[in-house]
Amino acid sequence: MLFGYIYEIVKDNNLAEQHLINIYNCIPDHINELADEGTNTWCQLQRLAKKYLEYSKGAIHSSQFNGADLSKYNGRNRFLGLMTHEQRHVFYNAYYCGKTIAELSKELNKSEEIIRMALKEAFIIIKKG
Amino acid sequence: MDIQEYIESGILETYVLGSASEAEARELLYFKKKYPQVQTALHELENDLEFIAEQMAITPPPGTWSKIEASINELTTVPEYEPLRLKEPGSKNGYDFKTANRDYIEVAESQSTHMTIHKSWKWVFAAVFVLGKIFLACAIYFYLENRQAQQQIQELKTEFRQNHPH
Repeated sequence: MLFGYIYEIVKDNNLAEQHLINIYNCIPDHINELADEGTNTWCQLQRLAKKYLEYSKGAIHSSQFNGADLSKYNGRNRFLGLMTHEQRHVFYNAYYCGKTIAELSKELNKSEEIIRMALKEAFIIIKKG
Repeated sequence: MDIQEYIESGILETYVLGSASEAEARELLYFKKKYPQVQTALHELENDLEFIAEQMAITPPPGTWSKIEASINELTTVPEYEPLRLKEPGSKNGYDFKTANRDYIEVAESQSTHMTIHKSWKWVFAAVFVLGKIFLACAIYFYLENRQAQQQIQELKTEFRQNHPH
């Protein structure tokens, strides 16, 4: 799961593998937080990975998103193909690139409420599958 | 505030993705404690995120696990570093990978304060240590030489006085 997430950001198998190894090296320092009851372990691990990539890459934000090419949204990425361009843009940039709602609002020139709703709709689409 | 409206606003989705501002995250954590509905909705969203990750998972290349294992085993030989703080998204002090930079040595100055220096300084410290030893050896050598010379002068003076009495 974590490899797939990292790969989607760095788009390079070897680099993704190296990042995965480095993230695992950080886990012993955070084992208590990751095993903490009441928090979802995957979400904690993903946050750790996101922060690590922000620091090591220096620019997780630079991960390029081209929402126009719908043909690549099949198989594991089929959810993205079910979304509108706006929903896809918001979800991808928040999920993979770590952009904030304020940044996306400015980027798309839309209110933060609209961006939040687009993100919510994207989650609903994924849930329905 | 209508809590259902709050849940429907999309703020929870923003929070689980770490895209919420500090103020939004603080507010959400407050509501999470106060309203069980928020807690439940948040829990569901976290499960959804896990579901998304499962769907988008890719099998790592063969041999990745042995590399991870070897790398973790290597860590046991490296001195321990202060653990990074793991916080909720949007909090002021999130993970700080700068503290994990292995190019720096943590030097404890006292119990409460620390000083960070670059590893290259270890060569400077080594040079200062070696030079200190050399200076110490020179100082001892010249001290002994000087003492011997003083003794010789004293002997010569005595000899001179004996050979040339008033």
